[in-house]
Amino acid sequence: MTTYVIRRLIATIPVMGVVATVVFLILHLAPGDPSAILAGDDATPADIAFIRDSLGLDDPLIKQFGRWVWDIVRGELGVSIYTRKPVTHLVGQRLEPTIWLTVTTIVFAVSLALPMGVLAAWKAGTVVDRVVMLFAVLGFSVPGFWLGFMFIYGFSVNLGWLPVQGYRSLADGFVPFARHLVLPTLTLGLVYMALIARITRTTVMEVLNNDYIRTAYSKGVAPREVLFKHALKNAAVPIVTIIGVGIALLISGVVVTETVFALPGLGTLTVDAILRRDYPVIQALILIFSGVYVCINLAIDLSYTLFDPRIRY
Amino acid sequence: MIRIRRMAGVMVGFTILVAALTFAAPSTQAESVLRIVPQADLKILDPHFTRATITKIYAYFVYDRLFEYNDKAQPTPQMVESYEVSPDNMTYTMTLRKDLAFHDGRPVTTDDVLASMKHWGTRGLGLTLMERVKSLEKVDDRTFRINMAKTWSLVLDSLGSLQGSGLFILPERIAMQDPKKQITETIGSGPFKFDADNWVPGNKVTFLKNEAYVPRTEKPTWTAGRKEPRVDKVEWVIISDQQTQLAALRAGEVDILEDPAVDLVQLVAKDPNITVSALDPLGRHGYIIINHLYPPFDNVKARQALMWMVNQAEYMTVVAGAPENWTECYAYFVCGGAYAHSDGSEALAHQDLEKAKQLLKEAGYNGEPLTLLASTTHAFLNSAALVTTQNLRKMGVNVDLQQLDWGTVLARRASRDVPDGRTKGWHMYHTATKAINPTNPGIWGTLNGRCDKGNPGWVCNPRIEELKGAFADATSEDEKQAIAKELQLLIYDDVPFVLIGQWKNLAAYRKNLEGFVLSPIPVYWNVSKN
Repeated sequence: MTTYVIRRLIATIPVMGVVATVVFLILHLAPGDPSAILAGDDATPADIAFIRDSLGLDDPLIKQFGRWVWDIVRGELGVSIYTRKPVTHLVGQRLEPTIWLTVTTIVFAVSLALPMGVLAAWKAGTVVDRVVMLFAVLGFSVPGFWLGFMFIYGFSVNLGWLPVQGYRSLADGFVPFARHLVLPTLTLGLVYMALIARITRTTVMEVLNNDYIRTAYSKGVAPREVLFKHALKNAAVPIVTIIGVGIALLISGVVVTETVFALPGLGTLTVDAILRRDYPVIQALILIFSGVYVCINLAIDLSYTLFDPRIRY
Repeated sequence: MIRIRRMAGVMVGFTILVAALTFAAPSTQAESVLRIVPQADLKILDPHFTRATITKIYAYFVYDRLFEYNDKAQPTPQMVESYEVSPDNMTYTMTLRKDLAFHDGRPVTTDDVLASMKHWGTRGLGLTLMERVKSLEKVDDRTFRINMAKTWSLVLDSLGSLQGSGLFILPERIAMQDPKKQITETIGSGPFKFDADNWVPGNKVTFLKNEAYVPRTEKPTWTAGRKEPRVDKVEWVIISDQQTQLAALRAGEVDILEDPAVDLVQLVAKDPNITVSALDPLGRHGYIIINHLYPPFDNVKARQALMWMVNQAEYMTVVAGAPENWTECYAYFVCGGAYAHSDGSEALAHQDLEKAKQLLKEAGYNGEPLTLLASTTHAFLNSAALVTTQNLRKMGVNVDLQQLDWGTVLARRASRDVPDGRTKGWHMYHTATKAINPTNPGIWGTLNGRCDKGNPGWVCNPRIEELKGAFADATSEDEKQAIAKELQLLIYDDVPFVLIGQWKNLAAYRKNLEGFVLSPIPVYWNVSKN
């Protein structure tokens, strides 16, 4: 197992290298000029040239690429063209909201979606099943930003129960921290919940048709134990796979949710950097997201061994 | 049954938790905090590095200036206690106020002022002034002289200018840094201090009251006069989504929206807790910028055709909404400004698409695609571009409308490629500016005839430069008025770009705020919260 993990981690290096090169080329060859944006709307060509020169954006691409690769090798992610702050500092400022939003969303979605999916599979064809699946379809169909606005309008503006926007760190107290995460978590979590509930229902239904399930019932095992100890455990591999894939979906959903609720997370940092052509920030963020996704894939693959003892690396 | 009871228990517990979080009272704050959603996000802290308006607004919090503009657009002393101009207008002797100090406690001295002027004087308006200056001379720690190489009537205007990148006074050691490198250390002498430790780019900018600031005593007008900070803290809360901005204002989480969407702000206009009004007395001007390099617009008839195409009311309705929010304005130097003239504006004042079509034909237009760049980042610019597209198509013009984000528009407009649909070249794009900028023809950067050295559009008309220079050199107000009039006639004749109207920049703010100073640049000293 250890060898497998090490092999997989080493294999990420060429992957990250390709990602880094492709991202760099796409960014620098795509239209857009950060100097023009930096200079301001009324800037003259002389103003823009001054800034381009001061930032080294006139240097040959290969030189700029070399500079960036050298920074990465030294563990630095560069400096923002705009704020002149290290990218690591900017990412550090934005990491906490995104991590907490992702964690609360996963916990919320998984803890509700699994029982819902199992219940729907157990009561397949009944009203319970139809209601759960209706909820799943709605969860997929309703755009996240619309849902967010509706929650804001209802719970924040009209009822005044929860804040409209912003983020409070856990260090500022659990209550303000939690209050600011309720609506974003609900907004992002409902879509994720819909996806997991559906997959759970489908895979559990398949498992429930197996002989060993019939045997368990015949032996007098309680339905709850049959569902959660036998059926769900055997259905876990595809469900865990979908949860892992869903995390990638979460990353794109996080961008929209963070924008709607003005959360200072990595999602808004990414969008902002792209619109401004802040090359060092964009390059660093895409590398980070790629690395995170590779690690999540590895974690999912390793988790299979927990659910299926036949799987060994 | 047991399972159902357990699930019910979980649901009840969850509900209690949410209720506790919901109704938990927020902590009370002793300090007064003004929360503003600014018109853009602050990225650059160096006020001499960029012309971005948001950096200028930030600089007004943190720095102080030698001169400021009053509500007659006249430069008035701010950091300067007194000044003398020699009879031949070649020497300006200025003495600083006694009680000026930087945020680190150091007094502001002549050395700081002269270094700041040199730092500012490497580009733009500062360069225009410094090219006419023979020397900057220190007399003592509070007195200095500007010795001119040739007379220029806009010396004080440039020192107090609200247009372009203005002069802000920095500590000498910071001002002596390479102007090519952005300043990142924010020590000023203004009414607020920048809280660098709590700056989260893209999320929050905080300004703290400068307790040691000694304001002038005169009544505040525009950016001049008494700058008294009346709140302990000002927070810029960056909310990019406009719906969320409005919701935050209605919920009282923010106090001011500097630039709400025109169509959305009407939703809060009737809210009893919110006021919607213009804090900028002049508003904005919108333009169609034309590429003079290539056909058909290298021909003046094609450019005049655009004037005949325009119906300002159409543009202003989509840009600014209700009629009380805009003006049909034919004065390029701003309706309400000192040099407003409407002479020569017949083409702009009366839309005639047939005449426009005829002029375009005479200019040699033959149905080839005309590329119009539109910014989707700014909804009002995109709307204006749609009006232009519609009118041009009514004239039989083949319009290639390209809707892009603003960053791409800025990059594309710098392209001098032939606009044949396969390159980055372009024929027209829409832009807007704060109406304060065109009020002084002598220093308005957008109006120029510098050909290759000019702004995108590359207007090549030396007479424009001559008249701007003459305006700057004029010694009497009558002379300036005459030159402004002649310049306006030249604009209508040669059409460097087309004015589509003037509109108010509405802001929305909570009714418990008072003390706003109307100003072309948003300023928040004197504002307090009840």
